Amino acid sequence: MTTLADVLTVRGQFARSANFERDAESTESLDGYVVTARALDVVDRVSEAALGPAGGAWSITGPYGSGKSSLGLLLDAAFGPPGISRERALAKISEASPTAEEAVLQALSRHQARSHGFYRALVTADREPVARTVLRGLHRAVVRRHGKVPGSAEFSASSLLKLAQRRVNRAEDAVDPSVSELVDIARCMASQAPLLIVIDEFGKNLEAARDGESSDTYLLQRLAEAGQGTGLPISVVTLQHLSFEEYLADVDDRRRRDWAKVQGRFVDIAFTESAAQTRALIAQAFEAGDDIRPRIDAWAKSHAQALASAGIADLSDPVTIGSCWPLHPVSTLVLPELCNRFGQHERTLFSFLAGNESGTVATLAAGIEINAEGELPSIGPESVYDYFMGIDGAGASVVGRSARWTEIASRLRDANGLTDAEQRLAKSVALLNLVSASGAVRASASVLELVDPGSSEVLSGLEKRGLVTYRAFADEYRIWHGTDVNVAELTAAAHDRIADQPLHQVLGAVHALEPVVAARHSAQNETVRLFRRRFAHGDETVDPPAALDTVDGEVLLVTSTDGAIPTLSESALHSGTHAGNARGLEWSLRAKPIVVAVPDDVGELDRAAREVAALSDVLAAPQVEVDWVARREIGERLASARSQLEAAVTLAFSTASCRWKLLDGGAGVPLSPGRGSAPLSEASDLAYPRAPRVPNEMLSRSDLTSQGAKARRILLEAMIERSTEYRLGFTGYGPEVAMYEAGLKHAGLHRPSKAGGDPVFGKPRIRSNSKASEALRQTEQIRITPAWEAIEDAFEAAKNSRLNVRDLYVTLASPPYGVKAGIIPVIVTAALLARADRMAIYEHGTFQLGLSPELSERMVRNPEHFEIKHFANISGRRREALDVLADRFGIDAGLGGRRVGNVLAVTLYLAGRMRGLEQWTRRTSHLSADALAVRDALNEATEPDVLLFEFLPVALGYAPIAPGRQSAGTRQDSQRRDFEAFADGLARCIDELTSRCRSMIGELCDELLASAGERTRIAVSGPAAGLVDEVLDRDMRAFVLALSNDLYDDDHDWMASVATVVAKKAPTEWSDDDLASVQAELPRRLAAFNRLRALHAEHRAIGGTPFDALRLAVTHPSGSEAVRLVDVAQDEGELVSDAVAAMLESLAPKIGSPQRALHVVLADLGKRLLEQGDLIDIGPTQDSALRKAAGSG
Amino acid sequence: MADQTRHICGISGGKDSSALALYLRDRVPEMEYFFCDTGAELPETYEFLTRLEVILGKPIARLNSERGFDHWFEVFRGALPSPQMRWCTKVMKIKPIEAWIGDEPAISYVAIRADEANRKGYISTKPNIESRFPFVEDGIDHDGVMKILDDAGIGLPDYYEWRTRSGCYFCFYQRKAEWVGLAERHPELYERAIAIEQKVLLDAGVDGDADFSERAMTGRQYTWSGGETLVQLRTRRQEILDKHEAAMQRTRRARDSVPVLAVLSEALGDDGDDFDACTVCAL
Repeated sequence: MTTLADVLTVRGQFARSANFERDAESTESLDGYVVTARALDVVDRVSEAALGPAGGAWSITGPYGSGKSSLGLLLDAAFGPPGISRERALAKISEASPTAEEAVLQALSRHQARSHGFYRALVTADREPVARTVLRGLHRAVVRRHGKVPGSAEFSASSLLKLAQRRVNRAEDAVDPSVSELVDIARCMASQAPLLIVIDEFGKNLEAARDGESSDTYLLQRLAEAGQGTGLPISVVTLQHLSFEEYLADVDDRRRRDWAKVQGRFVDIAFTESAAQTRALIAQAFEAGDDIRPRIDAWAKSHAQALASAGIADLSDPVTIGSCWPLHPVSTLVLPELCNRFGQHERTLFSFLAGNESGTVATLAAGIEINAEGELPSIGPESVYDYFMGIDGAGASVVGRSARWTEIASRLRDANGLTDAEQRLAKSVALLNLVSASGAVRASASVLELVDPGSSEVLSGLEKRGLVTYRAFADEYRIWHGTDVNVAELTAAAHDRIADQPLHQVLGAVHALEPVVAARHSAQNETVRLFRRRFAHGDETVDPPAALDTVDGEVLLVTSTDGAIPTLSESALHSGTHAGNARGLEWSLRAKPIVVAVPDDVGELDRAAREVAALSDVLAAPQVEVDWVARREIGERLASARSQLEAAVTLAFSTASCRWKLLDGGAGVPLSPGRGSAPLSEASDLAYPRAPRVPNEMLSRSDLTSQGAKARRILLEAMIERSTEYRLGFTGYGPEVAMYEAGLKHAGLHRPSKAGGDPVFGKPRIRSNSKASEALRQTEQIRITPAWEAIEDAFEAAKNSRLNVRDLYVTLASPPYGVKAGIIPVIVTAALLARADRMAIYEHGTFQLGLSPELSERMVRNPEHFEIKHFANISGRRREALDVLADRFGIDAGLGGRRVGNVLAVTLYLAGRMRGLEQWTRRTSHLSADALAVRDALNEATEPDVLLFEFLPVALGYAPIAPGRQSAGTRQDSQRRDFEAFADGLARCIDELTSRCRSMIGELCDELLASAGERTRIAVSGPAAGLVDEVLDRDMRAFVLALSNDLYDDDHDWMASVATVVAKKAPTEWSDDDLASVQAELPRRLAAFNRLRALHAEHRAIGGTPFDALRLAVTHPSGSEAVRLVDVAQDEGELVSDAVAAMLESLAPKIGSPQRALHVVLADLGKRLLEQGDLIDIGPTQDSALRKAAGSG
Repeated sequence: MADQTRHICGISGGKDSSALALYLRDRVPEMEYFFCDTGAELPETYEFLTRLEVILGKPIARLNSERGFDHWFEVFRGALPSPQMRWCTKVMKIKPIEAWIGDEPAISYVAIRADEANRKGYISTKPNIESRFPFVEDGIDHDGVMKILDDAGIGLPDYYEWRTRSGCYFCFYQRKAEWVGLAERHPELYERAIAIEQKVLLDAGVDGDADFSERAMTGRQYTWSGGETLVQLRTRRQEILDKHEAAMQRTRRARDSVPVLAVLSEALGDDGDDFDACTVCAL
């Protein structure tokens, strides 16, 4: 009997893991090793670096079993001394790439290393400091080259190396070598030959470093750099499973940063192979005898065709298929993914191919017979399954078992009594289920047909047994745990429930529609036009999107097929005005456009939508929610149904299979189908023919970004505050400048008032009969003119009644203008500024003193709170009256020096003068009758013209000035005299109002000086200053301090402060009552002040005998207080003291106690004092209650 | 070249900063005084500021007077400030102050008393501003402050009769008893605070009000005073006053002859709210 084993050699060396220490000395270590593209890349880099003086550092990261250690061995051999190992290594490299071999040889020659090779410090790390690992490697490299550590004569670092080696190996208190020792040793080596350090399992060093066992972070880097000075390169290669950071995930930041820096010096190489490379590895493992080759080729060819027709492009090359024989193509197909996902990559792969335990290809080969004729036997997926998953599948130490893995494995294990064919297929299905993510490699009927040409019958048997299920939506057989939920029944019921629901409702619930952009129109006009979309029924009545909505229109995807289209609501129709359009059609609406799309056929759409709706419904069913298998199945079906629905929507409403119309209240305006959003662009052309073009992306949009909003705020502020400056005073290139350029400058809204004049806001001046190129340059100006004219029209219409600013916004945002919400405030502000002398602004109904930045901020946010009214230039009698007033007040009416009969300018002037009026003046009655009447008129009028022509003349005793023609002749003269008298009277009143508070304080000052008997402030404040340190009474002291204060420039300020101290309130805040009480209080305070002066003057005149001054205060039961200051000379005091002592002594026995006697005498004296009447009555202290309150705080 | 350094002194409307202004009147002649106006201060505060201006003989710069609370209430469309979202401090205090100060070197005089070691006050983080604490340096304590105010004859702001600090009339840091005080002293402001709580701008002119009830903070149960609306609070007036009086009594009993203001502040501190003063408001 001939078996597979007889015609096939399986190369086995690579099947086990390589080990540096063991395999480096073996001449056979590289047998069976295949130089993959990745490995070749590393060899190339090392030899290229070795050609230079500096060497290099590489960190190679790859999973277990990806052949890293074998690569290390390859490098070791290739750069080693001449001999069999080097020859084999070079041969392998050459086999993969002759130029790579050439590079290795060059590197060896360059450094005269052909005869001895490099120093190769090949070492496997333990959980130990890097220094210890490196020392071991260096020691070994020296010994390998010289047989032992040579003496100092031959190797200058000899004693250093020996000593370090001894210290490390000491049983107790071993000492690791220092970085500098290792560098010295390495330098010494590099003076003789290039040094190649390869550390396998470097991750263990990193783990040690993580646990704090090592601090020599920079050792490897220092070593790699050490070669630079000596002339011969030192290269360092580390091999590890994970990247540095992953090993060091939980160390402190500082050390992680250190290691990150070190890794930064290393060139990282990821070491994984693609599926195709893995298959190349498989091919290398097999060597078939020459006799059988023709049969293999034929076998491969037929399978290649079958695979190609099954749509598996990945593996349809007969050469690859053939070179992987005896593996069945399906086995070859699944192995790479299987090894990567569930095994240790190549190591697992080679274990399966060449291992000598049961179930591997090598052992199976011995039991498979080859007939002389007919189909070649092969090792099918069932064997792969057995090896990886079967009960006795010994070899695979599986990692990463997934839930799916466990489920499939247990399902097959529990299935008894399967025939061989059934087993074979079931296991194939299982394997394919495990590796398939998507695409052609799945357990489809056609792939399974490859495994077993008679598969369909067997599969239906398996289906009947419930082991395998066909999932039609995925076209895949699955070994999947079933579920108790009857999905089919639930789905059918769900379909029944929605059967009566109209399609547009079903769709609306399950299919969200994103808004779409009218692309062509948007690009041409530099204005994005966005249409929201929804499904609709043909019999609906619809309203267009609101004017200030962020969308520019709506698309209705009609799902009824009777040909009916939705109709516009009555209100939408009646909001319309008529305007022509380019097509000559009657465009009847001022509302945003609604486009309808009516598909020819909705059959597929209906089916797909209902399927999605039904499945969504089923997914939410309670029994499904608790059954993950059912949930998963339905979830997958739903995902699939959704993508079908997506396709159905696209198809049904594609421009080719669908009619498009613009709703107009009639049968609709047909839109020509075109690609993509063409109908929407056409609708936008029709709806927005008068839209401005403002090529600024930040401004020309419905919703500004926060940065855009900030820039626009800055722009608006500059417009208001610096309207006559060149470029509004902007310098630089900020976003607000770009907005200015696009929205105002190029649009011609901010331009010189006349040639060479200051810029002003106004309507763009378009030069007619200009050349085509000039017209092009004026595009923006031409395009903005309709919107500007719309604003002007609205302003004109606001002469009789106020215009709400929001209504103006609505007009501009609606067709035919369609101005973007971001731009509207800019052009409205420009228009308001252009007519600042005529447009009155009201906020919440109250007249405002013109446009200010803060008012503009509020207007942008809440346009509905603002109204505007147009005060046109007036004529006739009112004009004459105005001229007189303007003359009288010196008002430069109108901007730019133009004389206009302007109500607003005069009103604003008066309002401005009244603005700073003191509280006292606003309330006082100490005004002339005329001034009082004018004050009332100014307070009561809400409209500028009513104020000027009605309230104010009446207040001053004149008739209201009615509109009408100017009188002629003598009547005119007398009328003019009336106007002049009126103007004079008004001016007098305004002057009185604005100066009254000041004059009131002046009057107080006069009263004060009179009371003090002095003529100048200095005469009072000087003596007061002399008393400051003598006065103890709190209120009196403050009064005296205020009198003495010489900080003030004039009498007014001085008096104001004295009056404030007396009233405890500033004069500007007084009421008339406050004034009256100050007028009463001042003389009293001054009398006391005068007495104090006299007292102290006398005292000083006497010549300074020491005396006590006492302040006597007596409180009457009424609460009023009386105060007297008494000076007591020393001799007087002694005299009285003796007499009183004697008196008290005599009274005490009669009254009770000396204490009591004292009190009674005091009371009697107090009564006498009060009766005497020359005390200063200061009343209850105004802030006495407060004083107590303010004790702390 | 003349010294470019500015000397600035912030006035809060309270007694300490007013005393500091008066104290420095003769000492730093080039002083610039400023007051950060929210447009929603108590009338007593505005009145007191004018009083102070007259005595100082110098104007107090009113910062931010163009964009007060009503402005921002409109701009933020009814979003109310709260301890969690204190836009009021940011847009009405810090920003205007820093804009006014600018980038020139400046010395800011801060009214922290010698007996208040731990109070913070607003100390700018701007590098061009140097802070000085004259009261601390010269050892002026509470009594010293009262003496300064007495000598100036200026008295105290009238709100000290019912409230412990200056600030917005609707300040969300004020005590329940202070709300009751507002309702009694300034019923019209209390009504306005109610309206704002209901996100409506009252007193808006002939054509009606700005109503933001449908906009910002829709559905958010925000009230000025914790746990109840101002309308509800008003119905509990007597209860709050009783509680307040009891607290005052407790404090009085605990110590003899305690000044009323001390009793007031301690009693209010015992009101059951968290006390977390707005340091910038108390500038």
